[in-house]
Amino acid sequence: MYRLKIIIIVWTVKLVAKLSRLFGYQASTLPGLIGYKLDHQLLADILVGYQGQIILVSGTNGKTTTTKLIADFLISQGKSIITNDTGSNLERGILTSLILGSDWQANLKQDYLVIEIDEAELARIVITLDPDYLVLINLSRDQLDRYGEIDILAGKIGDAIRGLKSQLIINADDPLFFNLNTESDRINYGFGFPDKEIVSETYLSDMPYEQSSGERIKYHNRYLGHLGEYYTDSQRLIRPKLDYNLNNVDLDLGEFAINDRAFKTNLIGIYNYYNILASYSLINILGFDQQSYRDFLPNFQPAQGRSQKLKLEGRKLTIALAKNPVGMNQVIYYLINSGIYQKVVILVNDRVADGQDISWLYDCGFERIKPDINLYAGGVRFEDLALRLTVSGLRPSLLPTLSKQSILEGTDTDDQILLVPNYTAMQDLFGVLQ
Amino acid sequence: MKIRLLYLYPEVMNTYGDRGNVMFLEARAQDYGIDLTTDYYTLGDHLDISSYQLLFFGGGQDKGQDLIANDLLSNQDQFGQAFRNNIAGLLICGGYQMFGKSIELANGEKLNGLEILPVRTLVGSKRKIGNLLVRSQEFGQLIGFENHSGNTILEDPKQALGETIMGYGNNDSATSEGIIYSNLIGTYMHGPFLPKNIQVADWLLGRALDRDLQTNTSSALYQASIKAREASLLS
Repeated sequence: MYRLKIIIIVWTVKLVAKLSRLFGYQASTLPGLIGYKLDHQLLADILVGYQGQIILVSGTNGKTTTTKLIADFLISQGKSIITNDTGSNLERGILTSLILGSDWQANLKQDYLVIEIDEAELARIVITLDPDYLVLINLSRDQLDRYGEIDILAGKIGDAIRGLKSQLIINADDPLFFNLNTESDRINYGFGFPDKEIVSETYLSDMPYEQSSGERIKYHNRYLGHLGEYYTDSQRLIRPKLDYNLNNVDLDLGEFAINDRAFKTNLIGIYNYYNILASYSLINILGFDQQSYRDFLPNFQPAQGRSQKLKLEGRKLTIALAKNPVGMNQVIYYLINSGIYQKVVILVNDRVADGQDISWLYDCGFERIKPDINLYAGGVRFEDLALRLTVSGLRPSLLPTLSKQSILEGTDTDDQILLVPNYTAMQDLFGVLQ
Repeated sequence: MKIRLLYLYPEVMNTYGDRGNVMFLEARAQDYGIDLTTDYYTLGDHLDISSYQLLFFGGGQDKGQDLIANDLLSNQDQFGQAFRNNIAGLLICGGYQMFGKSIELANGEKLNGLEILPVRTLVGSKRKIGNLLVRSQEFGQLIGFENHSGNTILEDPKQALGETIMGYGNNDSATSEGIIYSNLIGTYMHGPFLPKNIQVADWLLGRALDRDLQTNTSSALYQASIKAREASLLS
């Protein structure tokens, strides 16, 4: 009887999704939310009897790209998968993806479930998901009003995964993961090249000191925020030995090697090399060889809003999501300051999914923006953004209302426009562009 | 006109964009032609506070505050002397608590503070998160964002920075927020508090110089600050 109940709920959820899509909604979270209301155990119930492998990707920056790299690769190898590629990475979004991917008997038949999961949600539901593989990519400050302080979050994740049998694939360059207590095997990936010319904002260190002794964390090489080849003088903390080592990087040509095997990519920015490395480590552990990943990588298309390129009335738009300081600093370094854009629009909202506290704007290194950039401040909090930019000596124009017209205003055919939204601002943006 | 500003433990006590306050003081000083220089003091540095007129001390993660407590208290005499010399300062959240007499943790453990501000803090279990709106005699309306679990009790409630209109402020039950004590301001309005409360930035610069500044209302910074402030007050 219980199984019948699950099947009825799954039918209901599928119907809700079909109906909402009929009415033009994206339906990435609502169906799952309704399913959850009908059965709080639905996530566990739908996974009962699943024979394939579950891959979870979690962390602060790069979840969506890493998940898509893994999912697209598996598809390229003829595997059947389910993935939550809409970016809905809370329980309800994951439920929506799983239910829509299940058959009418509520069975999951795919080879792999490739799931992106919010780093705060991870601690809550990782036991239910009981993944075969868990990829932890990094932790940095993001939405402190929702997640709390970053070292507390790292501790919660450590507690939650203790005792799990999952294979862990971990960014060894993140000192916040050093103390993850776990009985699982741990595969470490990281960078093995000299860090020159790579941005790192010293004021943004999320872990300048070792937590128990107060020893200062130092770096032989520091790549991105607090990620790098770290150590303390007492050697109590030291970057683990790398199982997957990315080096020989040429950022301009997009060439690099992992464990001395050469690859090439079109993705820009050092953060994408972490995403590639994470996905390759996992894929290699799954048993796929280097050649298949090497063939796949140059054809990879990034997810919506991740340096995505569009055309609008003859202008070339680039959309680059930036929703926290580490992400914003990368966009400033690689895109805003590149000098190729005739107009740069930053859009900051403060809805629940963004975090309602916008103090993170003061953790962003806007002072590095070149003064001659044609800069606009938009989004729900455009006045706060404009103030933040003004504090750094910039003089942005205001873009209080987002529309095709306001995006295009002041540009000519063939001009390049860079749009830098945070999370819900990106949703608003795609709403306007459609 | 010269001001030397000392930013205490910037790497540890900078959880919520606190550095925005220092950036704002630097930018606002330019509006007045004040030559403001900022120095950083952090764990293990040699402290000589006597040459500074302005202090900034932000909020940290709980672990961060544990890390610096001993270092801070080992300099208690210097901080006391600076206070008697009327140093101006902005102390936020953890910085505010640590300038008080004591901090009692949830497990009953009691930490000593610098004993400069006549306040005591009990760390509660309830996390107070959200917008904070305060009416202050000195400054008019103040707006900010709080995110803390401290309950701070003032020995003399009349010394409060203001009266809470929205949000919690000093503690779960009182209706006051912060303290204004000599030239020091303590507050739970964390992170970038000064950018939208430019009158407080002006007051701090004035106190540091020991003179009243004629408010500069023509600068781009002032205009941007007032715009953002009005937008927040409306929403």
